[in-house]
Amino acid sequence: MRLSDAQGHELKLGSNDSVPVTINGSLANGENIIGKVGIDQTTDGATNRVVAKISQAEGENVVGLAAGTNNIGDVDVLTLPALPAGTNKIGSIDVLSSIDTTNSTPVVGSKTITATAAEIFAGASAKTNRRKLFVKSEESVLRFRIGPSTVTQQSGTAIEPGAAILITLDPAIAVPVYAISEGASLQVTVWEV
Amino acid sequence: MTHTFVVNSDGTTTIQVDFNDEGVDLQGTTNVKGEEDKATAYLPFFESDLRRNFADKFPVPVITDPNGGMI
Repeated sequence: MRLSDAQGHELKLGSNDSVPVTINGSLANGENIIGKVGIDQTTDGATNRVVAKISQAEGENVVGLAAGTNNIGDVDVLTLPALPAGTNKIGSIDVLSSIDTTNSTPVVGSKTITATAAEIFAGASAKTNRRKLFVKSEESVLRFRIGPSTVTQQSGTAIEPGAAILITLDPAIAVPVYAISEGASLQVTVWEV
Repeated sequence: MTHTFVVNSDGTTTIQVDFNDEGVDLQGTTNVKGEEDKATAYLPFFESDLRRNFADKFPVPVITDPNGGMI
């Protein structure tokens, strides 16, 4: 095929010459790479922004990724459900408070225990949210008994002369503790925290 | 000191005391097994314990000289 100019003169091209070519029709489908391609997409996103459509039908929105084990990169977790009750170990845990600890100012005082079962505490009334009650007998002869309001001189836990008892309590639950002497009145020292 | 008894349905009686009439800001509450007779028997001991445990709230008694003046 001979190339000629508009006047009909034959064109002779050197090895370094180039000729502009205008393609009037569409390129046929194929797999050949034809160079950089600029994308002007105005429907999805902004211009020059490509939106990948993972679907089988054209025009469908992006669907969720299928379940699998492929690593898709870093993922930000917005919320987590509460841990269900169970026995699994979840790592180190900081215990903020314990019944075994003394976390408030203790109240101390002496108390007279009589033959009438009466509530026992250190101050003017049972300490609010108390977690420990320590009672020590200052008596050298008589015993006293400790227990609920139904404690009698024959029931309940007997505390020997000079002995002491430490009762651990749930600070969220007010549990009255009563004491009664097995004989005459006697003195005890009480410590509440 | 003033006091009140409240007989409870569980077989106990609540004793409430107040030392406000003596100019002392102290109130106490306790419970005894039984009714008012038991509360009456226990009341003096409860009062004594409070006066001892809160001695700093009560004014120190002034001892006067029998011949007049103060010792």
